[in-house]
Amino acid sequence: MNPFYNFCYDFIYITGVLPALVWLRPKIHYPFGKPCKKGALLVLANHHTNIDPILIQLAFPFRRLNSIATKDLFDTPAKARFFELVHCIKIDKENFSLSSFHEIVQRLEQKKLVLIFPEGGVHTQSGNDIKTFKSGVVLMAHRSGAPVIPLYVVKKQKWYQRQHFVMGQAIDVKTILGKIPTMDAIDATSNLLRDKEIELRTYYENNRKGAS
Amino acid sequence: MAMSRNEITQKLVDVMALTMPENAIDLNNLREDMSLVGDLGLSSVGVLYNVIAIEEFFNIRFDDVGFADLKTVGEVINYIEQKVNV
Repeated sequence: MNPFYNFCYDFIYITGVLPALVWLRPKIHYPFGKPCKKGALLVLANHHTNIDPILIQLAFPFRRLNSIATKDLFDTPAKARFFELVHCIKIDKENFSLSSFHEIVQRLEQKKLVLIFPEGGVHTQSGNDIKTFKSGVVLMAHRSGAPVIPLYVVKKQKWYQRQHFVMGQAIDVKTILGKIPTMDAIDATSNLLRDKEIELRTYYENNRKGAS
Repeated sequence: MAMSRNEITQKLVDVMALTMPENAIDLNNLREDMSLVGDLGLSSVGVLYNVIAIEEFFNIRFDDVGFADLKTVGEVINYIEQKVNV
């Protein structure tokens, strides 16, 4: 990554983190123990709002997030420049390009943290539902060998509430699938990752009183 | 190493035999006009998975092409041919 991009990312982070911490007062729950947050990580999170990547940055305070962003966000030169500076990886959902896939795998192989919303978009109207995961994330994890961390971002009901996250343990997709998996195994692993996300949501809902 | 179109097709059949779900189609009857989604029954992830496998087996990279450009078996073979015979 271009050092100038890293500088811009860090500058935005440093200037924004203090107000964000004061306003959001993030609290991270680890129901199954704290996962290792170093090295290559593929973070899978639910997607309620457009500011989710900013919120999730608070759950990984000393890491630069490489978020997957749809090409619609890159529609003007200024926006494209900005999203490149904050390390976003552009994907075209209508005509998925293999170069996007390689870019994601390459960043994971460079021990970076890649954030993906595996439901495939923002789901503002779906309440707490977690949609079916796109199986492509399993291929990304399998190809790169990076551990997958499921993260549940709690939807705030009031603007002044604390921002809660529930983080699961790292999952090694390559160990689950072996070297040459079948499509059925890939789909099953995708469902397993979704089940882990639901497990995190259930944990939060069952412990809501103690959490807030 | 240059490969003929027949060699590419045969190797492609070998790759697809590893990646395709059981009994999805008789790969010995693979034709170039077959569509990946309609005739071979591949989902978008299935296409992605097959492309990854093709990259491994042919030692090439599909780096300047989108899924919309790869609709039929023939188009995949064309792309592989273009890459391996550079």
